[in-house]
Amino acid sequence: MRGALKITLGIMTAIGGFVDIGDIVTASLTGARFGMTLAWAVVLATAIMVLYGEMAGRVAAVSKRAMFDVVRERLGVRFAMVNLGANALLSLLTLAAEIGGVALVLHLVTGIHYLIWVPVVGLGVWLTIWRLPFQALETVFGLLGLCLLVFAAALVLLPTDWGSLWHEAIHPSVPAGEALPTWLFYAISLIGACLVPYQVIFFSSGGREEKWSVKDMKDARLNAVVGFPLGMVLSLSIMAAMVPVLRPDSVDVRHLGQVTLPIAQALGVLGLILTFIGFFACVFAAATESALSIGYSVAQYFGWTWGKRHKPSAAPRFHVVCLSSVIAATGFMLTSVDPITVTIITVVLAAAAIPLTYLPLLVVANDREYMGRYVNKHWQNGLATIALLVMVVVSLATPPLLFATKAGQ
Amino acid sequence: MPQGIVTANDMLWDRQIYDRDGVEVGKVDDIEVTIPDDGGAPTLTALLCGPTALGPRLGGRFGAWWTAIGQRLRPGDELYPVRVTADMIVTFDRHEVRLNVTAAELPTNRLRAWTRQYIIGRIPGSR
Amino acid sequence: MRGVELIGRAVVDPQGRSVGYVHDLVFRRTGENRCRFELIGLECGKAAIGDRLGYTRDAMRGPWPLTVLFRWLSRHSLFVEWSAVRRIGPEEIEIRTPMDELERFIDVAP
Repeated sequence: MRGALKITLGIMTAIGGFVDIGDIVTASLTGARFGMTLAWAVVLATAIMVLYGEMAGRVAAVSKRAMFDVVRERLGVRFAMVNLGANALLSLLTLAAEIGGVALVLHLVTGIHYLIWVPVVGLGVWLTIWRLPFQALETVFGLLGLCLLVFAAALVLLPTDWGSLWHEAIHPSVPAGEALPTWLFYAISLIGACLVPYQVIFFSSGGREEKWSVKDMKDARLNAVVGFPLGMVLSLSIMAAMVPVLRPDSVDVRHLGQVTLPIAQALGVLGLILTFIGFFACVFAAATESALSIGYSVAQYFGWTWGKRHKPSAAPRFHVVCLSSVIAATGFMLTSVDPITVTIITVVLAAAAIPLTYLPLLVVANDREYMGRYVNKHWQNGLATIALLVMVVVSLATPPLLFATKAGQ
Repeated sequence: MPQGIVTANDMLWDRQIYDRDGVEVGKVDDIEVTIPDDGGAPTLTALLCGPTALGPRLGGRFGAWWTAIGQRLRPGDELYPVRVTADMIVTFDRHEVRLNVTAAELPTNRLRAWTRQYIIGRIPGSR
Repeated sequence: MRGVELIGRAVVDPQGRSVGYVHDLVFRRTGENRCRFELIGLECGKAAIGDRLGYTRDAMRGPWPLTVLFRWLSRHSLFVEWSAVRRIGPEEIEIRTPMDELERFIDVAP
């Protein structure tokens, strides 16, 4: 049982980072429109996430360095500032999207307009950051998020054509009637949703919050190797569950309500309740994670005391940053921008920003003076270099695809 | 090259500074070297902290703006950054700098104290 | 003198040739707890990124494409001894040693 509890950081990061509003939206959108032909993007992104997540955990455990300590030391003060600005802005957008997402879930449950929920959710996110201990945060949301396995259950009960799902997944090709750039655009949005930079910041800072040391390396590794693939299973089952229900009518998923249709059809009210709990836990966790990661990165850049392991009065500047981020994101959502649109923009921007966060990590994981005998192995470097190349290609391909497809129309 | 040769990028700039009790003081935003009175090689005399040290390193308009904000935050609009003098340093490795004084004794503490007193301290449950 | 007054400055040799820009300051650590740092020289060159990432040090092990790339970028970096510095101006640092007599930084790097 202790062992099971120990991997909750991984589960929470996976649930909150991997399966967040971005992932729910992109996975269901692509499932309904392209079937499983884009499953490869999720698998690829998960592989990259496991590789780099493990590295982030190892660096945090061995060198006692969180992400932005490393970024500033290695990229220099100016480039790191650019990086900090880009990341903070992106995390702020993510936070706004997640707050909107939670509000949408609450709207589906209660019928009350989502804009009324936005400030309530913002307050909830801030209270969680302010008061809830880190361990409780991980355990509660990690476990509740597992409710999303209901999508896998629905898949079993629905008239799923497993053969064709599998065939599409392992023989990816552009479906008839779709253009290649559009298909690629959605591949990029899936990768962006899976690899959002705040995940790595949160994972490495979370390792410091839990005071990981070399002794905890196994746990750190397990967290990455179990947590992220679990997130992949969840998002692939969301994607697959759309196929038998929404794809025949080529539904364009524009509302969170549409995502719950397969569940309603297969499992009825009980299934819907579990889905809402799962959505709420995942997206709410992602909201706190992205808000915390803004505080983490700013405080680490400037060398302030940070973290939930301290009382707020001992880390006042960190909490000021978190609080102002939540206020700013809530205010942004209150301007009645469409949460789903914000989500899609965020994952696409994330895809463009990925290499900024992942490169310094790779560099430090190779520094023997920091890592001692825990430096990257040759095979890890081989894979990580290929992954980095993929990230750079994705990042460079994002702007042209964004314009060529008018954001996936 | 003989042992004991280090460079500023590898060892000094942007390292985390902790006080005697392990509380974060800040980063090494810049360093101060002084040529001794008898001539000879300059030696490191202080680590410089805070926005007025960071601003010039950021450079450009943004750096100037950063410096100006930092100057407003310092008592008497002092432009020269907070100095953590060499004799306060206990250990110095590539990871971090440890001092023999407490953070409260250093003037880097002002923004921290201000935010604690006027913002965070006023919200219930901060302690 | 602050570090920022040296870093990024253009360096010119007695013939007025550009040696590059100051990327890094090189120190010797002495004293009982090794907390005394003596400035022994400047690293000058064109591209600073490899040095910044730490790729001029031996401790960096791979991934080899990055090692090769960044070592190659900083292959022209030169080491200027402090004693060779003649004048530190607001724009430029003038040195006494002609450019072709300077050691390559990669040969003296720790």
